[in-house]
Amino acid sequence: MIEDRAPTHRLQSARALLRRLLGLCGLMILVAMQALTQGKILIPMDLTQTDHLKAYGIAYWALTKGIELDWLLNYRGGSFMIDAHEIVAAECRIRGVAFMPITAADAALIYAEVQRNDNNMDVIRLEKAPKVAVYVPPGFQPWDDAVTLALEYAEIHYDKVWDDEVMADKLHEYDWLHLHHEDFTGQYGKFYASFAQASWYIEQQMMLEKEAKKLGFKKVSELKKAVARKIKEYIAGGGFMFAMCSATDTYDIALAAENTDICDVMYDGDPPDRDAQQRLDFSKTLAFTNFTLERNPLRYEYSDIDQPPSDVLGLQNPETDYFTLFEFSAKFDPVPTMLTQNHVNVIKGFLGQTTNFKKSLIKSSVIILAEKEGMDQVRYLHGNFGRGTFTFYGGHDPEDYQHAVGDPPTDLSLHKNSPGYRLILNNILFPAAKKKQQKT
Amino acid sequence: MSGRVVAVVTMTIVVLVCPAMQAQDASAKFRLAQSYEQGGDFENALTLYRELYAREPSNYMYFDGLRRSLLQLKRYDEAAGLIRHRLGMYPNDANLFCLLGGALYQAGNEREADAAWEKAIATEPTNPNAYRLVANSLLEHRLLDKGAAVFKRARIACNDPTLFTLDLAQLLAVSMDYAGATTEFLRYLEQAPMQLLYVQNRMAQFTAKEEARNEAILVVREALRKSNDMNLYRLLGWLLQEGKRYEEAFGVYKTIDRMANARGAELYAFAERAYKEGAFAIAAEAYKAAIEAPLSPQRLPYAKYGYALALKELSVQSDTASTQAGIEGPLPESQARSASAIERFRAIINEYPHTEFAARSAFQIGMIQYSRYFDLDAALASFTIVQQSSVPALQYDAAIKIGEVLTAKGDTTGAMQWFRTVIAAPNATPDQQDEATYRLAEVQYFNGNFSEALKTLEAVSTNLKADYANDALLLLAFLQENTLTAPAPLKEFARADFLARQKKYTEAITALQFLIEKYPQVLFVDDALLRIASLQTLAARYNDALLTYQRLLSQFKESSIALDKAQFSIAEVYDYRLKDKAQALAAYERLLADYPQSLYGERARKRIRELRGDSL
Repeated sequence: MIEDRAPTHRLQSARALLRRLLGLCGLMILVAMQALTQGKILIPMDLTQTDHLKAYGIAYWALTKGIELDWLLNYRGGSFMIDAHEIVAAECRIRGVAFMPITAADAALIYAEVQRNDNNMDVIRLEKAPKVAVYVPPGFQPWDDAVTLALEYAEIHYDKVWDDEVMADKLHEYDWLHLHHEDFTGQYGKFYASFAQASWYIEQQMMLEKEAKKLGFKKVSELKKAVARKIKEYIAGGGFMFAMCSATDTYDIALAAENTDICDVMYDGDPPDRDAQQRLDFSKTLAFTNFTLERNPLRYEYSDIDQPPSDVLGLQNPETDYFTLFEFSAKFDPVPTMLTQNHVNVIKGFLGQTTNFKKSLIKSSVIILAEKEGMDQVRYLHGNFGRGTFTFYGGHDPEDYQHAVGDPPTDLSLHKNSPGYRLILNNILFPAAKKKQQKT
Repeated sequence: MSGRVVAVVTMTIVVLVCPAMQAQDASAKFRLAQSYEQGGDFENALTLYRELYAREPSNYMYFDGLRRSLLQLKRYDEAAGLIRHRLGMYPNDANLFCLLGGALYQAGNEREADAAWEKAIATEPTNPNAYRLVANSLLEHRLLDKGAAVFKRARIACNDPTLFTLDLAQLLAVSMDYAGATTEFLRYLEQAPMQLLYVQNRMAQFTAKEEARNEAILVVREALRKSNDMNLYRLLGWLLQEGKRYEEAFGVYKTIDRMANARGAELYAFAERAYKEGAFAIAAEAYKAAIEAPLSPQRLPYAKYGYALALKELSVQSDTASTQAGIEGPLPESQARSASAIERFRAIINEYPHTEFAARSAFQIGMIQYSRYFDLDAALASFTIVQQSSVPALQYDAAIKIGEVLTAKGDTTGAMQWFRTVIAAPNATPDQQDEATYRLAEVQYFNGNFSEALKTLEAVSTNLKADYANDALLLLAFLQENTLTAPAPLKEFARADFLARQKKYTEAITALQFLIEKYPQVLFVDDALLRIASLQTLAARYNDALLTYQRLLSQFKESSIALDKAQFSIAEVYDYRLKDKAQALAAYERLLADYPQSLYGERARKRIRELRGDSL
């Protein structure tokens, strides 16, 4: 009896499975049809956008919800196009991000326009939310750092990492590593002349010394060099590094100074090598070459990379301080194009411990993304190293022209359309981009 | 013979002059070496120092210059050799051992460096200075833990547990060993009990950090188990207050007050600080305890007044947004608690008649009666007492309040008189005059004297720094828009506003509804609807309010500029009055969807995120 029944039972099961499969296929076809016919939400990133910074947050949020979107490079300031889900529209409203519901037909027209060969535009599909790490010391508050301010405001999740995590090879868990005004030379920001007696300086030095000792380094400068090398390995392995302010030049200086001591006695307890300059190895750096170290330990400057030098920043006139973004071919150079998406191409300058990079000291392999026109000063650059990339952005806070120690934090809700801050957030999304066949 | 004389003279000159020349030469070389060193040319400095040292090895200046140059050139082994050479001459020189330790440490030879530092101590193992030398040398090389250990060893070796207390305290504080630092500061306090403030100042460098403060508190509590020292209690009380742990701090100050036999003075000081920091409940308790101590008669009125003020603040805190004082609608929760504050203020008036305390207390009673109970007669009586008192600072404030109370009573003539008195008073402050001017304009508006009200308002609105400038500008704009085009309906509107001021909400609502029916074409009908809805909300008629707002939204969809305000108010009624989170969220989202440019957008966004529980 059992044997007699078994085939019938199996047949019933097969029928049920078939029914289920058909149902599933039907559902999938329905979803696909709906996707084809459904409208879109366009988040314009031109001057009509009410909150450019939070718009990046919406893109990131959509990715975290599994909603893919398109980044329309050079289309209305680098707009985003998302399938018309009501939750996306509601979230845009709640976060104050301007958006336009458009029909499938209008969307098709936009795509056609963007993909036309005679338009310098392109579509980049964003598929997954990037994992972002920010290199900041423990106990850090996101007040004095443009990178974390931007991420916090845009509500883009990030993890904080410090030397422990870097040395334990944890960076490989992240797509992006963001750095701000760290000092990789081990000179504690070269604040000695002004702040040697300040409790925060003493505490910072103590904390860094303890950290170095804990990780088996006699000197902080040695630890920082090792950290810089680890970060370089991370980039070589396919990581993306974005650095601002003094994390740019000090990073390269630390790499170049691998085999020499550039720190004076107040920083590491012994004098620097007399021939430290000669012993710099520029083949190890990412972006800069042939720079000259600032040997005066009391001068608030690391090298001649920074232009203008930090101690003459007061002579700058904010009214005339602007830098210009370069335009790249969206179809042939998508990454530099992504990094320079903006609603304006002339951006007001802002100072930092490292403000601009001396053009003549930049390696020829590096792509210049923005510069101060008519001067030997580069503001924003990008390069490849191994399988990864690095991007350096000069200046401290795009909306606080001269940010000093102890100044109150910038309230980004007052600078929702900041072009300077947009550049930081451009450095979040491109790991989310679907890899395209290179055109060249 | 003469040849011999010449030879002797020549020899004498040579013998006398050569050393002098040599000395001159050495001095010049030394100066040159120093100048090379200062200029950072350590190679040349080294050559000269070496030459000088070879010539005169016992000269410490030459030795030290040579040592410094070698260290600058990172020739640590040579530096160590040089120091050892000198140690051959001065085998018991602790300083030389320390220098040797430093050079060896920099050369990376930590074991030998430690041995050299040990030898420095061994030169005079019971002399604190030997330990200080070694500790300083260690600290110079940022070996803070070892430096601290040497300081501690010195105490045992020299049999003096009080040695290096402040050095250690400071060292441990910068090493972020807050418990250790606190222990040392306590040790110092034991030696110098008068230095409590100094210790507090030094500890304040780290007690701002919560974890550091908590460690310090633990250490002080531990110390209190062994000793009943008053300074320890004071330090603990201060630390607890720094951490806003007022309950615990209060307990500590009770003990201090008892131990010091302060009769409440310590409690009063604590209460004052707690009050200033907004900890009204604990401040009230502390004032009460101080009063009952009993405090000295000189301080007693201060404490009593502080106590009453704390009770008043507490009563205000107990109110929720859902209730407000009024004839109609629910009573505020604060009314019951305000009674005890009033009682306290009255007691002060009785106990200290004709004093500033009495006047201030009467003013506070008047404020409670007016704003909490809306007891106009009682408030008027209180403010009149203050106005007639001899406290000039309060006279004009009281006069303005009398005017406000008279307005609320419907006596606009009397009210205007009081406001004009303040405006004309040469001793009134500009702020008081601005407030009186604005209040006067309001009364003129209520009376329907719009041209006078406009004139009066211009005086306040031109001074943009005035607190009342915004209110004045709003009223001014409303009157300017409607005085000429719709004077009769405007009078009706003003009358309704006047009734609302008197908290006659039902009458005010009726008046506004009558206005809407009679003048349906008037431009401010939407304003009238908004006003009706807000009065219905005040009267706790929430469903009526929602219906009125809805009516505004549907009837004036094309014409009103107040639609977003109506939508926002709907959300607020659901949110704060009806506590209906889902409806509130929907209403806020509707505002964002329908009125994307609204000024209420930001507030709605923020509230949506709060209601959603987003981490902002």
